[in-house]
Amino acid sequence: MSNRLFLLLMIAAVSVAVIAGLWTVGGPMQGRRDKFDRHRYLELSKIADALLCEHRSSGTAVPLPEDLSVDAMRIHCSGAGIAEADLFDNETGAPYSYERMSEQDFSVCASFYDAERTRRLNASFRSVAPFDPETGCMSGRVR
Amino acid sequence: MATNDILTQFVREALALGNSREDIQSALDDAGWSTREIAEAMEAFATTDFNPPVPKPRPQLTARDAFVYLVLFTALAFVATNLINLIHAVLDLILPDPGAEAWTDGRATDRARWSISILVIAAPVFVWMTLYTNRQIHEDAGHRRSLVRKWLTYLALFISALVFLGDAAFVIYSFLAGETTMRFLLKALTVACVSAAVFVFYLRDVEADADEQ
Repeated sequence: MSNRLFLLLMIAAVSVAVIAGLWTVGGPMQGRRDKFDRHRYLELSKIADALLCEHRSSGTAVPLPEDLSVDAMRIHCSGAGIAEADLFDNETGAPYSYERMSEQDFSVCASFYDAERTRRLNASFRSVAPFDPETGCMSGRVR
Repeated sequence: MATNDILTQFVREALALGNSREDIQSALDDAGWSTREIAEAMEAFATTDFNPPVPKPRPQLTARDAFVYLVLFTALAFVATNLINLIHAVLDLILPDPGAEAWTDGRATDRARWSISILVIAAPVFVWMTLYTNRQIHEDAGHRRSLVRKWLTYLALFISALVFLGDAAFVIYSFLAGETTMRFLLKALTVACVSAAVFVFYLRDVEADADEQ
């Protein structure tokens, strides 16, 4: 194998691998979408965690708030650590949708570019509430 | 003065005084020097009647060579490891394994992006530095005697041989552990191909050096 042939083979192998890598994980646009979707996923999880309020040990069930606001969350679960920015989509600025299905059941949803991909890519992060990639919602039931 | 310097100086002075090579070897042998030490000291001077004795070129260690070859071999290490890493990440994503951990996809995506970033920088550096050093050697064979180049070439051979043999052992282990999926076999093949290519490439370099001498 001459030096030149080795270099040509190396350039070919690196080029093919880089193209295959970009084709598989996507380019910069996909990277940005992944980043925003990850924000959404983590914020939904944070909101769900605050709504479930499992760290509080009052022992009595507290009804879910009527709407999703910092004040309502503070009343529902003081010191839950929710900031105003956590309730809004980082990219669009729109509030996350919150549905209070009963005094105990809720779901918080966001509009994802690719919810299934987001679930797969962030599987290492264990959310307290189950996430449904079909709807882009996290739902839970307070005790 | 180091032992070898004393010996070399003695050989130089003995040759300058007109002693034959056989007589000098015999005197050194009687004094207790080993055959290898004697041969190295005698090899330091060209076989010619010219007086004073003509020294042969010796391996050099220069700061410039250290810089050039450290950059070259670091780029090689980055290219080889990240090429393997990128191919493994792509295989993780396109051939999902139900037995793999849940976080595999997230990690593989990050690994792929990092490897692409490093390859885009390291591969052109490696190609450019290889062409540059080859041109230097072509123009002046003295560059072939660089001590840093010699050491790093053998280090590349050692590491690639180690990786190749380790990969082979891992394939056997995985076969015994029942993990012979297509994804695993392709990953092992990638490691084997990259390490073998590096080994063969630098082995040729070592052989070319030996021919030169």
